[in-house]
Amino acid sequence: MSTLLSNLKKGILDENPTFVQVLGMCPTLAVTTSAINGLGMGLSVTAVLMGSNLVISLLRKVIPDKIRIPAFVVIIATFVTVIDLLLQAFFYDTLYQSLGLYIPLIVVNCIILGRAEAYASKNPPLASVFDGLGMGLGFTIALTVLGVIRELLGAGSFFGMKITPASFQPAVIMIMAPGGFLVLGILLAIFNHLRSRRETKAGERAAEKEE
Amino acid sequence: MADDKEKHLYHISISPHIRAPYSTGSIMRDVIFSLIPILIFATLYFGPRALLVTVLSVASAVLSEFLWQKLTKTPVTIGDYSAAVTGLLLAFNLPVGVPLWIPVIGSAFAILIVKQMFGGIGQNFVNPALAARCFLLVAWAAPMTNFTVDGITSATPLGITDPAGLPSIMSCFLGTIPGCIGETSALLILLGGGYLLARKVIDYIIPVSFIATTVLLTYLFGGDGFYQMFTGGLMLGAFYMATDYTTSPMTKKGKWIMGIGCGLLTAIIRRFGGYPEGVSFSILLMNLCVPLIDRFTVPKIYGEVKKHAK
Amino acid sequence: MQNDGHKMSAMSKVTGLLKNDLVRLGAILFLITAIAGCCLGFVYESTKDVIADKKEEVNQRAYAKVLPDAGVLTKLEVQPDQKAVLEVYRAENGGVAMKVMGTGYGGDMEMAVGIDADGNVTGVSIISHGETPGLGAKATEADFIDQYSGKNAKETLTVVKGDAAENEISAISGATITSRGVTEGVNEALQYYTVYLKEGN
Repeated sequence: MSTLLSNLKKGILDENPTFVQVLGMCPTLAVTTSAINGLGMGLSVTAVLMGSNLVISLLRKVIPDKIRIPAFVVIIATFVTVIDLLLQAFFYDTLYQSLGLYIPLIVVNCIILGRAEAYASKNPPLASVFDGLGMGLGFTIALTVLGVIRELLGAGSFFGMKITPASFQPAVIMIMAPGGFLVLGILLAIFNHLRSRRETKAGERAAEKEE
Repeated sequence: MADDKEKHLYHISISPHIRAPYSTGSIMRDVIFSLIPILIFATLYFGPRALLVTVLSVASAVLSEFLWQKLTKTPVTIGDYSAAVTGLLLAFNLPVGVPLWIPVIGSAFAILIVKQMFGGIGQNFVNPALAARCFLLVAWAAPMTNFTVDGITSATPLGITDPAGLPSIMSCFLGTIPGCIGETSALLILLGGGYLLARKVIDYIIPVSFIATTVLLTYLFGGDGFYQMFTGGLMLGAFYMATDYTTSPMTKKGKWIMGIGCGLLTAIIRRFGGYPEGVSFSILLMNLCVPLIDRFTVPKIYGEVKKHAK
Repeated sequence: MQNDGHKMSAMSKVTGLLKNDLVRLGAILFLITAIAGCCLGFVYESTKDVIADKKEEVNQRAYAKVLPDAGVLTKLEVQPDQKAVLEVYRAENGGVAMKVMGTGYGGDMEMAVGIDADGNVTGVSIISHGETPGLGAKATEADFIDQYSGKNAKETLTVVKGDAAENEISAISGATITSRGVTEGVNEALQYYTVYLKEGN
């Protein structure tokens, strides 16, 4: 049980794919032009992560080491295509239009192949599912936060609802590439600053305990 | 010797070195002094709003630097006037009619993000005032390209395509044309630039090569090079922005390369690009190339003997 | 080890093959891809109709928006060699609705254009686009797109900055290419109408 919970925490905090591992930057920067896009992409990736981690973990004793990469890619690509078809069928007007090309690109998102290689191929299924869930949630949170900030500054709205007064002129640059880099960079700095402060405090506490 | 460190800027140049009584503060004071005539002219020609925009820009820059240094518990350096100069130069690159929050946000961006986040004075990788101006231009395109004088809205002379609507060359030289607050008066900029040259704050190489290249290439591309020299941000950019110490090359050869490169890019953007003004972008692009330029213009080590010398 | 070469049994040949790395790896990979392919095929078949319906629904909604009170729409054959005109419908009330393509800043844009029986544009609606939010994406807003309503099919529209005259469309500030792309598509529709669809042809 504790492994499952620690996997969750690991994905959201200690090994957050966006802010700590700095993986999957391409969709992160491209898709976070609005909050709902960030959330939608994050959830799609989470679904793929959980599915592919589960299947790869179940097959981990069967897939020979030499062909593990092609096998992983086939499995991941299958899940992504399924998600793509489902989004077309049920979210055609909304998410599918705005996420567009980036859905098939989930296949090459380093996070998914990375988790398959680093965790799912070496650990039991339930733990792998939770690992996928944790990483996916960490990614989703990162993307949603990024999307909220960029949308607020760049378009004056929150999940599509205009919440700023008419006198507020949005900074269009925020929903373009430079804005993405700026916000991501600042968030990375803040996140890691807080993390290192937590670690020094934990280190101090451990040192105190030894006295 | 140690106590000199606080007061004297280590003037980066190639050996052999000679000591001189300069400091960051004294250099910055010279720059401010040379810019005051331009400010006075702008206030008289564009109205008191020009002064207001400038004051807000400088205040925001100084305050941003002060707050950042307090928050990060680093020594407060607003006394070296570099933040003030950044604020001043940014204001000079804005149209007089901008909403008042633009200089405030722009200066904060220049100081906090371009200067302090990259390591403070001497560490910025591009010119902070220009980077802020481009940030503002992309973020709020409409207010940043609106040049209203006496209630008459027009584009800068660079943007006017009908020959009958162009102001006279004397107007351009004196500065009685639409444009950004500090860029219109070529006369005053030349005077200020001359002062800085006399005080040895700047080197003649970059302004001369920048302006000459732009003029020559404009002629080549079929435009009126001499006229274009006095319009847009070329004068201000060549003398005050491209010569920033941190973001320009160290050797004479490097400076020639930078000046020519800036001129080339400016002429190309003005002629073929979508924007009427190319100076800001060309300087920023050359700023990015400076580390490369410095690498390729490493001077001979003093005392190095040619291999074949007998 | 005794190896009676020419009498090697078929069974041991197969086992020999299976022990061969290449064959084994290939077989496993084949199995995985085959199963994946089957799953995909299943999902595809299940969602095929829903997706087609959705696309049609979006289409029809766009046409209804640009040609209100049109009644029943009858689909017409598009003339050959048309690169920009994708679909054409004749409406009960005599008007037409067309789906056309224009090239914007971020690639192709699909638009629905409605023209009434007198040859006046009743509306334009952008179905899909890849334009920049805050700039070209403003083409979908009423301020811009309503400009096309009322223009006559005889005209060829041009894009200008600032105020627009009779045959002109005011471009979106900072998004000239997008504005031109939409106008290009609408012009194609107007031209197609004048040549093929006007009453009397």
